[in-house]
Amino acid sequence: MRKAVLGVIILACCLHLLPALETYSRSMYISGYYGEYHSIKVFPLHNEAAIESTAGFPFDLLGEDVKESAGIEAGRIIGHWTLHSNHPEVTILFAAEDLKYTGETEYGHEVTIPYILSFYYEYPVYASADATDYTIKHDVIYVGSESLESTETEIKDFVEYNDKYTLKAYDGSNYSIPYGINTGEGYIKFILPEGYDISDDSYPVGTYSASVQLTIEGN
Amino acid sequence: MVRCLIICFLMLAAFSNPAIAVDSDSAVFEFYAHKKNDNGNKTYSITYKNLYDPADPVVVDGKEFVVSFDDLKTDDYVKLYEVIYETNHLQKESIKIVFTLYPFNAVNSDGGYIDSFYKTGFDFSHEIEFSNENDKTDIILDYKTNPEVNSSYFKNPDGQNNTIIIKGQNNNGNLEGTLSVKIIVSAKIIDDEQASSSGLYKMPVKLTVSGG
Repeated sequence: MRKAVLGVIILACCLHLLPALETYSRSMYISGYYGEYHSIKVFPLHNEAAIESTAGFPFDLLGEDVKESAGIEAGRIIGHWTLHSNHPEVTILFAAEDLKYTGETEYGHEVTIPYILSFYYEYPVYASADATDYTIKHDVIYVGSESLESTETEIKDFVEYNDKYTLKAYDGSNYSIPYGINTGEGYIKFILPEGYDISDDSYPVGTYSASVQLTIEGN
Repeated sequence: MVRCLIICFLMLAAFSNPAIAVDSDSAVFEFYAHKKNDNGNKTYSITYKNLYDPADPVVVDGKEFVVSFDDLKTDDYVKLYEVIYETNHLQKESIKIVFTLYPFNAVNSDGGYIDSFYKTGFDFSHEIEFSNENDKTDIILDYKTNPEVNSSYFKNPDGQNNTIIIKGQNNNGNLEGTLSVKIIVSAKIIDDEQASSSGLYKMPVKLTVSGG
């Protein structure tokens, strides 16, 4: 009896010394799809202090980093994008506005600046239904003024900027492969086409802005 | 009936839930950029002077001039105000000066309005002087005004915006050094069919200068 009482006392002391139990909780979000699924996302690299840095916007339109003449690495990263689809072939539609001067002008018309956006991507392209039989395709989609070497001064309007590009997850005509497309995150670069001299005073000093829309559809 | 409602609800839920089937998706983003000055430090200054009343030398935006109607009935133009704009950077930009004229209004001894001479014609003239410290001979100035100002005559000055745009360049397309632009606005009455009263008249004027 004495031992039993002693045991109870020891147990009570131990329980008293234990730290108080706290409650923790975590949650997770699950999404699924049934049938065809497409997702396209853009992550703009917005940075108010970016004018003098190497990425983000706003940026200086007269800066060296945006000039097409800088070569294959030309352009300034202003964001990232990612595309995901469970469909083996998709079309991306790009609709871009002109880069417009946001202030008032004395010229009596809108002042716009042509530009090119480059969208880098990479994803596996399958040669067969074997999940290991693929090569990584990586490329750049250029959207914007008609030619990187264009010297025309007329700027394309919004409608003409609309363009389509098709991405395929299969090689050749093997459409029936069971794989979709997942590009991961690729950069978006802004390039000022060669042949446009915006240092000319017909392009007023100030802020310019543009809106770009990307739409993905299954084929 | 209840069964039909349940089926309808389930069908609606199935078609409206994007997680079930998404056949397209889109994303929109906006970006913006700046065009900065490329010549380093830029300086400019704007000075206004009330030439009609030296005792009130500074004319600020929206301030009224007080002008004697009798003075404006003389043959000569009466100098009203002067805008001096000085900048070291007219190379890539232009100066826009907007002045808005309103009717002369007769005022009584208390300063209140008693009449407006909408039918009285005034002729405003602009004298523009330019000076460039480095390049006085080659300077070519692209000076233009809007159509309203071309006639320089306002039968009913009632809030028109009168814009003067000045762009500077030399034969090489550039303008170096400091440029000074002086604009003197003068006026006189050229049609006084309604101007039977003598006394003080106020003419509100709004000045806006941008550029540089």
